[in-house]
Amino acid sequence: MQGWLRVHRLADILAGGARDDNDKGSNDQPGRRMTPSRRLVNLAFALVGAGVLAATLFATAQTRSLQDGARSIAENMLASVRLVGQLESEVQKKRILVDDHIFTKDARAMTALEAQLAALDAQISTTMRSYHPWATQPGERTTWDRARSELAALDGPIAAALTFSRQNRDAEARQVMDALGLRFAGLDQDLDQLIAINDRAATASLAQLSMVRFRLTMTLLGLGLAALLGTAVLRRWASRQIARGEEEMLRSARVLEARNRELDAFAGRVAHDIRSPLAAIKLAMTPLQTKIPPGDRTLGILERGIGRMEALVEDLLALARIETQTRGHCDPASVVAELEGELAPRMEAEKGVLRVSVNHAEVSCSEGLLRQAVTNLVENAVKYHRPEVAPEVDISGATSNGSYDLRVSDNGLGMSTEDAGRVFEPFYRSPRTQDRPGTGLGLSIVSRVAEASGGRLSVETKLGQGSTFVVHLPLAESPRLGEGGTGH
Amino acid sequence: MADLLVVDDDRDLGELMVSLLESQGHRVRVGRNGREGLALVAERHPELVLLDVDMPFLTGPEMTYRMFLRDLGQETIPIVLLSAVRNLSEVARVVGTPYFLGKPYDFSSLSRLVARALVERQAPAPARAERDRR
Repeated sequence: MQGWLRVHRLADILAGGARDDNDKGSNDQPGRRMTPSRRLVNLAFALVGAGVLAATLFATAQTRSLQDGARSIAENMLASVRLVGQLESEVQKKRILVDDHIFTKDARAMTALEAQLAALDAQISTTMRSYHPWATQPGERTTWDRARSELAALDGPIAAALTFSRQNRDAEARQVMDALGLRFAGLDQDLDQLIAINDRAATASLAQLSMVRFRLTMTLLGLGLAALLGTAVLRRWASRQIARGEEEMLRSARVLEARNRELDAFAGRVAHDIRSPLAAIKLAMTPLQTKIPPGDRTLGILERGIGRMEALVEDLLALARIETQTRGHCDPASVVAELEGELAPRMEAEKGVLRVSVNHAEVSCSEGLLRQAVTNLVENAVKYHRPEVAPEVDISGATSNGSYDLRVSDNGLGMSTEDAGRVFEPFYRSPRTQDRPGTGLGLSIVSRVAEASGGRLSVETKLGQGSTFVVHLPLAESPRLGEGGTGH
Repeated sequence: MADLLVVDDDRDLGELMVSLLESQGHRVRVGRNGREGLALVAERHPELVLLDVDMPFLTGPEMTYRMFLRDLGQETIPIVLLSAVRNLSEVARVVGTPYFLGKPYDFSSLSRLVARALVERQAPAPARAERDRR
């Protein structure tokens, strides 16, 4: 069991040999542009919103219509009932005044009563004119016309009764008025009927209003259900669209990851296949040393050539591996502190000085990549030192405007403006430093490391005085360390 | 001087190693892959196996595992891993050997490592993590 595990583990390691611990996961970031799915989802919700707005407008219009209907019914009914009631009481008052006229013997009182009767007649005419336009209900107009005719027809007998009364022929006057009793009763009945008609119309209109309100409620309920159903359908459709989009994105991420792995494996394979013959050449140097006469430069040329090929393979591998190590974060202070020991022999060999003052922080960059970047920058500083001047390298780091700046400064050769503009290009080597060993990949690796981590590399330089390279890195989301620092 | 076995699929490298190690007085045999290496081990137990990792037919670690599985004393032979694979230290950890050297190496480094392995004679032992994984 143990052995099989070992073999499987070995197979994994050999097959994915190119992978590092920092390689896990892919660097898939959703695009910021509006995808078709997002457009469709937005459209769907816009449609739902428009539906709700339309339903609201419809409900508002219906409510207004209902209010108008209710107001119209109320006005019609109240006006009709009030006017008919008023007419009824005016007719009643007229009968009383006529009776008073018959009863009285005093000529002056009679004249006064006649004046009151004339005013009352005028008032009755006004009331009748006011009521006339309201008589619109079915049957109301006929009854009203009959009552109106009856009122007009009563004027003659009443005038005759008044004439008898003025002549103090009260018995005849009373006879005329008694004869009108039935007709007055008929008139009262017609007026009551008018009130009843309006009452019925109001009741019918109220019933109609209730029906309209019921229909409105049902319509709104239907619209609500339709909106609910529509939202459910849209949600299902939108979910499918989103799921499809996510699936597509995942598929792309997987393909990308697989390609990265292939590329990494390819780089590993190439490196392996170059390193093996290099090993043979390097070993072959041993017997050659005994065969080549002392002072012959051939061995030196061979050694330098092998060294350059080794460096080139290492740099190419480092460059190929950057994209697969973009995940992770680290503390630059710890990384630099660890590197200090490794870099010390190199500095001592050149009689140089390395000063470190790096603040603690958590930056978005894998530890492996930051090690690579710092090593390359320090190597670079040492490699391009001024003749006769011992290299002095300062590594400092601190947060700045929400990001982290790791600076590597030297007192070396510095660069011209033209060189500074091209120094991050792969394989670019300044004509002034062609004689120094190097692959031309060191700084482009640092630049790629910074960019792959979401940052950038910049350089400040002065020819003949030195350079400062700044790796600008984003801070990790949750820094777990304070702004302490390491330095001496 | 010791009885050594070199297993490497690079013919030139194998020949050079034989030649250089023999010049130091060692007795050296060479195999081209894990399968040949196993046959040579079975024929006569060497004092040290210098083993490439990535080889046809049978890789270096697979050969080590089979030596381990046979349980005929082969598991006690120290192994020196010599390879151009990038994660050689990880492979060495899984194989359980403290002796490994990345290609390309020079002869003095190889010579020092062989001398150290012959003095210490530490047999491969599975990594603790691998044991715990059972």
